[in-house]
Parts: sequence; structure tokens; C-alpha cells
Amino acid sequence: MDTLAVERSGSYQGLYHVLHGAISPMDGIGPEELKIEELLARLRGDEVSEVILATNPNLEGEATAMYLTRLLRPLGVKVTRLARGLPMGGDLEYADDVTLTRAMEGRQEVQE
Amino acid sequence: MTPPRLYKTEAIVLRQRKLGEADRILTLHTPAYGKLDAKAKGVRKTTSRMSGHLQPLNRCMVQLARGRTMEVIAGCDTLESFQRLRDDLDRLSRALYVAELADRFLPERVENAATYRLLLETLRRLQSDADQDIVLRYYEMRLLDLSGFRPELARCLGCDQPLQPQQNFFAPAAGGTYCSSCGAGAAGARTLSLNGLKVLRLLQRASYKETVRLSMPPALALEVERHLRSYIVYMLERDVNAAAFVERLRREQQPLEV
Repeated sequence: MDTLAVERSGSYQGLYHVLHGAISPMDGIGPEELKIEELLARLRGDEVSEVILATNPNLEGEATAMYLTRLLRPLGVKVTRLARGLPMGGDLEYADDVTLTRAMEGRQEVQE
Repeated sequence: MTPPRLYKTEAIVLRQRKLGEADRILTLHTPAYGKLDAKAKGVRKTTSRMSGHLQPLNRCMVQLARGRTMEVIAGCDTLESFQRLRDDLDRLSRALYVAELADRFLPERVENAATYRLLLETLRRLQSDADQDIVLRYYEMRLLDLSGFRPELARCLGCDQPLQPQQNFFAPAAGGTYCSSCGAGAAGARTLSLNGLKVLRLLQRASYKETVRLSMPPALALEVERHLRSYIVYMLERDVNAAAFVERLRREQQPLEV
């Protein structure tokens, strides 16, 4: 369903790799339960210049992204993460610390 | 203590699970009401204001309304987000292990300011530069104590004699230590080195300040970890899921070590 959302936005024309879950150690979901080996196999085979991590902006998604970054960086492929921060229609006043921190970290120069 | 219909409490989010299309059930640890589950309505929608505040490990001030089957979270504000834990995979894996242990050991709705304080202090310690594994071992021993599972470390559970300064045995099934004679052949008893025994005793009797100064060679640290883990698993009657991820990360960081 995440794949569908990204595809529908029209902002991406590359390939997808679905992990079928996110790392959640307390629930017993570790890297072995996700399609990570399959991802590594694809990277060994195809000509991949960049891997964009599009996991959810929550604890499990962050853990998964951090783990994959650790795994993929040594392979020499560019690893990027979708920008996180305030959703459109959101309210700064009610945003939590982590969201605001991420939004601040990901700030971009304003183009005229 | 029976809470009123609408009340505020500080809480640390231990875990969460999905409910229906847009809701979640959160397991909270509070100082005054112990561990309790609360429903967070609509938090899985992108427009939710509360979802960020209710991530696992977050310490927040929650407003709870007593519902039919369980409390409903009416509002929340972050007090402490433990950013340094979230940004570091190794710290995060340990923090989740700590949260899972709290969830497994705590009974529901039994006031426990001591375990709350222990949990909070441990999360803060994991953010610091203290030896991460000593922080965990201290937490494990204190949590066992507070939960009523204090292991015997002074005498032999077989012959009741004080333990000699030599290799002894540690048997979760018996609740602690056996001397070298009684331990041989005792169910589930594994050898406990003299240094291992000293460390376990230190963890049990000393303050955190004293314990954290400890410096253990890797083999000793591993022995202590294994004994405590086997004891915890025996008392909980189940594995601690999050331990596997901590171990995996450790293994993957040091591929050359046995």
C-alpha cells in the first residue's frame, strides 16, 4: 500500500523493493523477517546508483532505515532517506519534539 | 489508587499495537498507576496531532479519560523524547530491550514509582556515555529485585552453606547459586566463575554510581549477561524478543570475534 501511495504521487520513476514490514524488536520482527536478503541480491545483480529508503516516519521505520543504511553503505551505493517533518495541513503548535527536530534537520534553502 | 474519570499523568510509552483502521493501543508506564493500556484514537492518520508524541520510549504528560473497557488518551504533550536513543541504532536496540523487560515484568495497574524511576533513569543512562551493557545489567538486576525475583547469591540453595571464593554454579530453576558440590548435576545449573559471582553481587548490592565504574573483560561481561538472561527468561517463562536484535547488531559489528 505504501508502494501504491508513492506511485500515485508521480514523483518517482524508478524501481521498488518491498520489505514487507519494519523492524520491531519487541514484537520479534528482526531483519530476518523482512525481505532484506532479496534487496542485497538485487543490488549485487543490477546497476543500482541510489537506494531511497521510504520507511514510515515512526520508530520501527527509523530503526529499519538505520539498519539498512548500516548494511548498504559499505556496498558503495548511495543511500538516501525520504524527507521527514511536518505534514501538509499540519500545525507547528501541536508538533512534537522529534517531528520538529527532523523538520529542522531537513530544512532546505528557499528557491525564489 | 482508583483514578478519577479524567486525569493527567506522566507516562513512558512502552509499546503499541494497532487497533482497527486508525487507532492504536498504547502500553504506558506511569508512576502512580503502574502499567496500563490506553486507546489512542485516530493516531494512524497523517493528520493526527498526537501520533508523534505517542511513539514508544517517549515520556509525556497524558490526559486520560476512563472509557468502558480501557482508558482513552484525550491529549498528550512530550516531556522528554530521548532523541539520542532514537538516532543511534545500538542505543535504540537496548532501549527497546529495556522497554520490553518493563512490559513483561510489570503487572497491570499496580502502582510502582520505583520501577518507573528505574526505567526513566535507565533510558537516560543509555543516552549517556556510560558502558551500555553495564547499564543493562544493572537495570536487569534492579528490575528483578523490584519485581520480587531477587536471585540468591550468598549461599548454596542445596546445602545452605555460604559460597566459597571459587567456581560455583548458578541455576535459574532453583532461584540462584549452588556450591561446587551441590551444583554438579543440579537441574539447569551452569558454572559461575568467581569473578562472575562478584559482578552479580555488585549489581545486586551496589548503587549505580559504583557499578558503572566496573570494567569487565569481554568474556566476563558475556558470562554475566548469559546468567542474567537465562534467569530472566526462566522467570518470565518466555524469551525476551528484543534481546535478539541487540545481539545481532553486536555480532554484525564484530564479525571476526567468536
